[in-house]
Parts: sequence; C-alpha cells; structure tokens
Amino acid sequence: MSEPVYDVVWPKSPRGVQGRRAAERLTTLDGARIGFVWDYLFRGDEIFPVLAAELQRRYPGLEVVGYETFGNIHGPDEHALVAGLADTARAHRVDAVVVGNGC
Amino acid sequence: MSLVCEGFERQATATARGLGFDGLPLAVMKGHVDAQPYEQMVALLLEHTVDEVVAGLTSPIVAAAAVDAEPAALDVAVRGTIDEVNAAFRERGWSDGLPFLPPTRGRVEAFLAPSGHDPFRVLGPARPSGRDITVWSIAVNGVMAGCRPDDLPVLLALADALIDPHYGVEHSGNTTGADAQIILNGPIVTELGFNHGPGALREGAPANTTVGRWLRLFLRNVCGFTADEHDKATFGNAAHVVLAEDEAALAEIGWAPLSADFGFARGDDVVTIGRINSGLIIGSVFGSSPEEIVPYLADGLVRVTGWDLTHVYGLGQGRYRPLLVLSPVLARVFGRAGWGKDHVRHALFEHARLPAWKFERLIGEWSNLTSGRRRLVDLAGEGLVPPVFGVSDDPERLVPIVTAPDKILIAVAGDPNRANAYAMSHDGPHGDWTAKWIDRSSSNDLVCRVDNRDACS
Repeated sequence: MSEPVYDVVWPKSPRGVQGRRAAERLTTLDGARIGFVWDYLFRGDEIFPVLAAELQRRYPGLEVVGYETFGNIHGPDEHALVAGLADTARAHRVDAVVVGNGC
Repeated sequence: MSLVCEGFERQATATARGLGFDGLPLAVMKGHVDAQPYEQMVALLLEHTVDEVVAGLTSPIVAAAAVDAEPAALDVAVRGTIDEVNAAFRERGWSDGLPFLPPTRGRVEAFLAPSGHDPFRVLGPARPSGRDITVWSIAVNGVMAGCRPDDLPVLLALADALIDPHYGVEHSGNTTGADAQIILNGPIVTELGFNHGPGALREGAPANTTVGRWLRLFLRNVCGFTADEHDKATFGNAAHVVLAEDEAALAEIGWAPLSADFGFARGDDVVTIGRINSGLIIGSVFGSSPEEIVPYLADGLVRVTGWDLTHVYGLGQGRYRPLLVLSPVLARVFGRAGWGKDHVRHALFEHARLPAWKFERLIGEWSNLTSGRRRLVDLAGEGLVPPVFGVSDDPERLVPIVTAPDKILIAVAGDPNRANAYAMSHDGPHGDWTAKWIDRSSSNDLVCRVDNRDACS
C-alpha cells in the first residue's frame, strides 16, 4: 500500500518591509564628521577612542562626534533614541556613523 | 555601517535586510572583545577592523546576492510523504526537529474556518525578519505544532504581544538565550483543557505543549530566529510549555490572577509572555506561616538572579521582573494568614537582598553589561535607582533585586498538594512581560470579503 502524499504550504510569510536606499558613501574621510553610536556594551568605551585616534591619524581633518552625543541606544531609552538618531545626526552635522557593538 | 564581533556577520546581515537595508557594510572585530586582553584587542582592531571601517564608509554598497523567489502563501512548498515532508522542512530550517503535522492547504483552511478570520490579514510586522505577521502564517505554524482550531484566539493574542514594541521580540536571539514563558489566565484555562495541576510546566498536556511549541516555531519561521539568521543563543532552552494558573485556588484564597498586574479583571481570558533567563526550584518549603516560608522563597529569588540585574540598571532601568510560581499549598499558607499578593510582594522585597558589592560586580565587573563600573550609591544619588539602593556606601549593605515590590510577579500553579515553588529570572526589555486579552469571538473578516458589506457594519 502506498503512503499518502501531502502538498504542504510554506510556514514563513512574505517580507513586508520595503527596501530602503542607504545613504551615499563618502568619497573621502578627509574633513568628514563621523558619529560614533554605541549600545554601551562590549567595550565600546575602549574601542571607539582607539578607532577615533587611528582614523584621525590616517585622515587628519576627520572630526569625531562621540557616542555620548547619541546616548545609549540599547538602554532604558532605546526606542526613543533610535527613533531620533537621524535628527541627532543632522543636528550635529554628521556625515556618516559607525554603530557598535554587536557581540 | 556597523561594528560586530566575529560570528555576528550573518545576524547583522539578516537584521539589516529585515530593516530594509540589504548589503549594509560591516566591520568585523576578530574574536570576542570581552575575552581579549586590552593590548590584543587594540592590535586586532588596528590590524583588521579599521580598514573595514574605512571601506564601509567610502566604498559603494554592493547589492546583496539575489534571494531566491519565495513561495506565495497558497503555493505548494513541498510535496511528499510525511517522512519526506518532515525531512524537507528540517533541511530548510523550517521545523523544530520534532515530527509535525503536514500543513496542507486544506488542513490550514480547516484550522481557520471556524473563526471567520481573513487568512491574509496582516496583523503587523515581524521583527527582526521584516516579514508580515499574517493570520495564515499563524495558522500554518499552528497546524504544524498540533494546535486545535480552538487554540487560534490564544495564538492571535500571542502574535499581538510579539508585535507590541514593549515586548521587544527583536531581542529574542540574544546570546544569553532566554526563552519566552507563556502564562494563561481566565475561564479559557479549563474550557480548553490546559493543565494547571501536577507537572504544570512539563510537556504532556496537549494544549500547554502545542501552544508552547507554536511560539518556538513562529519565532523560527516568521520572526527569523534560526542560527542562519537572527538566533545567537549560546545555549538556549527547549520551548517552554504554557503555564496555566490555578484559577480555582486563586479564587479560594482571594488572590487576583497574574493578569491583574497588567490591568485585567478576574474572569478575563488573557495571555501573558515574558522571556526567562533561568529557573530554580525552591524545593520542599517547610513552614505553616508566612514568616517561616518567606525567607526561603526570597532566597530562591536571589539565587536565580545574577547578571539579569543589569535590567535594574544598565540594559534596562527598573525592568527586572522575576516570577515566583507558588504551588497552591504554599499560596494557601499566605491565604490562611490573610496575606494578599501585595503583602507577600512587600515581604519578598524586604528579604530578597544581596550585598551591594555583589550586585555591582554582577552587572559591571563579572559581566560587562552595565558600562562604567557604576556604584549603586552614585546611581541612587543621581536618581537612576531608588534611594533604597544607596542608603550608605557600605559595600556589605543589603540591596533589593528589584526596584519596587510590585516588580515581583507571583503565579499559582502546580500539584495542589505539594510544597514547592519555582523562581524564574527575567530578561527585562529583551522580552518584557506583555499581556493581551484573548478575543474568542468569531470574526466578520470572511463575511466582509465576499461583497456583503452590510454584514460588516
């Protein structure tokens, strides 16, 4: 006796999120203002100063807007801070941001 | 662009896709920074990571490889015998590894038909996958888990909780690997045959087991929590079965159900979920008065609580809410003495304490989850934790494990004749307790879809 055969459907669902266009990359880091956005985890307080120093050594005109400006994006005010990130970046004339740390 | 530790590339890529930013550049930090001496961490950063940061900020974004077209809801995704279907789903990461019922179109439609829900109604976004939470996807996974059509209102309420930003479902793949505990209240417990008695947290009772299994399947298939995408659990746990409260015992001693802590009335059908980091049995509680049993119960709450204190201050602020499950025998000890739940909570708040030095090391030295090596006395001075945490700067002083008595949740379930309790720690905003009313009424959705608008007014 042959076994029944089943036609089964997919257990996932369609992607509803629309693709967004990321900001244009910078042509150079000379003279750029780079924001550091931190989740206050995994040694960012040690890593971001090292990163800032090395980027400024390579690109002397590069300016850094520190993570304190953006606040703890993975702390008690996570939702509000993340929602306001773009405005904060604009207010501080930031050209691009580096976000960390995912560990 | 994002900085990630080695091993997080796939999760970061999937998260970016779920937010609509396919191909967002990453800079990888070799190894895990928390386990590296400072000099090694800096050397690796300079050797590997900085170049990737520069490239990520200046190089054009490369479009991600095209994803294979995905099936539509009614398409046949797999055709085969039950063994072949199970094998295909396992291979593609669509099952939890246990055998499941094949979700044929007919079986899913039969699952939905009694409720009248529009299968293709979108309830909201599934974070972090960016997929839609549809009634159909809830039902497909319900069929797979072995749920009954009668369970659908519970599943819909759970999906509503997953959509609620307060719950924070997007954190369900964090490395510490907490898993959600579902708690059920209301007449639905007995009417649908949920077990609230002996073995309340053990698989075996079909309703408790299959609804708990559904949540794990749904997190995997719709929210995207697999190792290939968003799940970074170092260990994780098996899916938790539903904890149904013993409503009769609660009524007998005059206690409100757990759902009342979230604004619901006794008699409301309510489902509540929160993510649990650890559990601890408080075994063979001895004593016939509240004064005798409170110290041991409080000790259990302290022993189950560790790094989770970062949700008192750090990752969360006043968001740590441990759960104490009392067997009916233990609840009656309080009831006989005229203690209400709030009285019990105040007593537990006073007794469940640990030295300040240990609290500080758990959140900011033994773990590195609260940055800055903050002292509780300073946090209290800044108003970031209540004054009780900063009554002196003596490191040996005892401080609470929660910011207020009402942060301790109490449920009553389990063997009615045994004197045991279960303490569970909680992952704060990474799965914060969220309660939803269960709407068991039939929907007009399908009626409204067949050009019969008068029926919908």
